[in-house]
Amino acid sequence: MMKDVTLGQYFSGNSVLHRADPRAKLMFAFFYIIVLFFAKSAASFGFALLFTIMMIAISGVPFKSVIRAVKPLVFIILFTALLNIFWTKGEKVLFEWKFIHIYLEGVIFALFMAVRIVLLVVGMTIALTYTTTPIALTDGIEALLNPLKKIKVPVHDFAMMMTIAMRFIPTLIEETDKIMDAQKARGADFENGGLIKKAKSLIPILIPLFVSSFKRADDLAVAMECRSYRGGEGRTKLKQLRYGKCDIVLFILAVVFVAGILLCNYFLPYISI
Amino acid sequence: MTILELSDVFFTYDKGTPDAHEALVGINLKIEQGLMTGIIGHTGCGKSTMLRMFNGLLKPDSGKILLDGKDIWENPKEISKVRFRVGLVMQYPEYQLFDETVRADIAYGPRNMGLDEAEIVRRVEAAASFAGVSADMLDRSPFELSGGQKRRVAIAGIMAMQPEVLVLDEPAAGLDPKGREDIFLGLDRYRRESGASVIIVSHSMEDMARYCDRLVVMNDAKIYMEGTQREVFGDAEKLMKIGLGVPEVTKLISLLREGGMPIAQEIYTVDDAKTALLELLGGDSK
Repeated sequence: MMKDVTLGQYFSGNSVLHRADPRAKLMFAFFYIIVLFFAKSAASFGFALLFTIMMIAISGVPFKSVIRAVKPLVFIILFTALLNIFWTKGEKVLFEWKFIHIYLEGVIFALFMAVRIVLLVVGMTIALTYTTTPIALTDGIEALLNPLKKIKVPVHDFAMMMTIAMRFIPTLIEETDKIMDAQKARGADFENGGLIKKAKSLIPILIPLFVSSFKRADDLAVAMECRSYRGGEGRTKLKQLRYGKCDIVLFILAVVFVAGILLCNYFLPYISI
Repeated sequence: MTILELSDVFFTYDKGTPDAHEALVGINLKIEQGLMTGIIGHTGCGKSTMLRMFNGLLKPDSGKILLDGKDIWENPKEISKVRFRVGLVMQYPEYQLFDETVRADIAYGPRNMGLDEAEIVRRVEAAASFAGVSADMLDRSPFELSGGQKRRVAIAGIMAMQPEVLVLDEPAAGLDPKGREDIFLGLDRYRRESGASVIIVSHSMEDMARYCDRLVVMNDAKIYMEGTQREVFGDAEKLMKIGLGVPEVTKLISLLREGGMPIAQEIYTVDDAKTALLELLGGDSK
């Protein structure tokens, strides 16, 4: 049951996106998000959609898995869409009943917003989580944030914390599964009952999970100290990050993306917000 | 009489994905009532999967699991009732403790069964005594106890449901010799006094020889050998073939026999060895 959670799930592969430097991918993802907010017209949203589908095709990640990444967000997307439909004021009234006014502008805005959120998530997962190992990702983050070390931000420590946290996600999931099985064997029921009963039934899972997590953190700290870990100072890397050809491809993709969006906004401004 | 029966059970993890992994292939097994049955096998041979079949934590892809002659999956909504009748103690069960006091934690199972308060108190105390949880421990927090004590509390938590079949996955793993013995003796006492059947997974041939009536050897998702101690340990060669062995004392006795000592019967436990050797040397067993 818990195994279905796709968090930081990496798909091994050998595409351009897989081979690119994590720093480049992080910058690309950041840029992609910003540019996505430039999109104003139906044409530019269409272009963003096509571009993202192309990215999925390049990455070689199966479409099914991409859809699975979006699934948990359906509720948030619907919620924002509904808010936008009811609260956006416009000129053309589509529907009116007592205090409810729905305008055409609201519907369009809601639709664009939904597409934007979906693309945001898909783009992030394709450029980052699906094609980058968590370790490479933290390496990239650490390298990008390196300048902050000058103003005494403990960048290395944050990166180490993130690496450890990500490393232990599968362990934690496995452990949750085990504890759930153990409590089920004692007659625990996680499926039936109202909200309060369901929440209460989580206590026998959460407490053992917390206890063992703290214990594991303690053990890990001792093990690290036994190996003389003393922070990032003077530490070398097993894998040095280097920019390569794939990063140029990524740069070109980014240029194409921003150019496409801006051109669509300018030359095809139909149905825009 | 057969209490639990697996009939032609198949199970595959992650079926239909590239990671698919066959865990059980055509398992046929009968567990006799009132006996202690030991399950032996290498890590990853399917033991733990089979244990999860016994109480319906996993559902077989095909095949049937019969408890007292009835298919446990006949009515999937009633599966939690099966879990009260077949108690499963997982590996390292001390990690499942959560309540404020040992007493409340042991009572979690019986409370889920919907028993009345007096019955719960009675069962908690009975289970605590079987598992070797002393009375003064009952009102302490389970997190204050030592590893061995926690293990006993967790076992008591399952015993308190008074299951007809008690299944334990390596109940003595990681404990010192005294702790192991306490646990096994407690299980033996529970079995004799309640008439329940006990199924144990263990890697220690010595423990198996000492406490189990019947043995099941698993290898590669299948049942490899099954029978009484004599039937299983008697065929040492077959056991060695899959990298398992017989108890150390059995090896010792067969070496002695090869060296010319007239010990007729096979010996599987240290106690039996002591008796046989003393008899041979002409002393009395005191």
